[in-house]
Amino acid sequence: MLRRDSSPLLVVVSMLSMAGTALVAGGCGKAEDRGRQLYAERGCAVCHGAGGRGDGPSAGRLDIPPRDFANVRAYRHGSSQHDIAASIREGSGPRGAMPPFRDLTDEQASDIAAWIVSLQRPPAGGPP
Amino acid sequence: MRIVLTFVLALLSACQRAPAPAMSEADRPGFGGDFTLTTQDNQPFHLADVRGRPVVLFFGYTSCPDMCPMTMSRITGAISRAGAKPSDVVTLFVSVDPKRDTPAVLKQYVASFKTPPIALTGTDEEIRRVAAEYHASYELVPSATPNYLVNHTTAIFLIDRRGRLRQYFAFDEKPESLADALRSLLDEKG
Repeated sequence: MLRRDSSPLLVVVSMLSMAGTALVAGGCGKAEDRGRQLYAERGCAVCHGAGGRGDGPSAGRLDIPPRDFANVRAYRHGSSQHDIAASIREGSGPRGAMPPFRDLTDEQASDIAAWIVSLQRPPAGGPP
Repeated sequence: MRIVLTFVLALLSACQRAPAPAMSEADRPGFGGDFTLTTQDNQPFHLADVRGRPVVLFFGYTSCPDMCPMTMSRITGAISRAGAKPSDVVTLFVSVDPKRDTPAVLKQYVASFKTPPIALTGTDEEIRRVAAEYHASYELVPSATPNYLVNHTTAIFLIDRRGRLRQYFAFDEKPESLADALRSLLDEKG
């Protein structure tokens, strides 16, 4: 509890703490964590699966099935965070593939991409 | 010190939202209405069951490769942007593909969302009736593969706390417009 004679510094620290809490609630924190949250909120798992393995409940009924995010060789439009964010925002091609999610901001797409990158695993057998 | 305090206050005030512009009741569409369908839990659902909360209604199907994923993302984003708790707003996903979208399939579908919508299905006749009530249309696209597509109305319908259709939006409406409309409905008393 703050006493009446609390130092100005303590007051500032308390207020900065409150502001920090508000900012975190508004979306600060680690990009990867924000991305995981957005992925779950926006229903990406319907096609891509909860763990990004390409095994969502609708995946089997798509003509072009989603990729396993763990497999970097499966990415058709680049596996970097930047490339993935671009695919999210602009889509990945013809009908049946990933549609464009232009409702997401560049930052949100980048956050989701950061989480997807965290799922990637080195190809079996080492680098080509 | 003063600069720091100003900065802190600016940060805190940035988290507050301006009131949404009121949505005119006079402009509400003259269609829509109550309906009864079946949920993903194989239970009857009446629109009247969720009276008291604004409803976002969308017609789609779970294996839709484009419009439905984009629209569901837009809806969840708008609810969040409106500053609403997910439980403040009811999202209804009415399947226009009842043959494939059985309650069991719908149950898996809704489980893929952090805040699951209520997914609804019914007989062909029941779905046709609800679609007609909302001036929505759909038709199966013949296909050589089992993964047929369904062309369907992609509008996002907003229903107020009293169960009245108040407004509808194109699927690609700006998220902020959809959020403003939702906030307006949330601000209304039941």
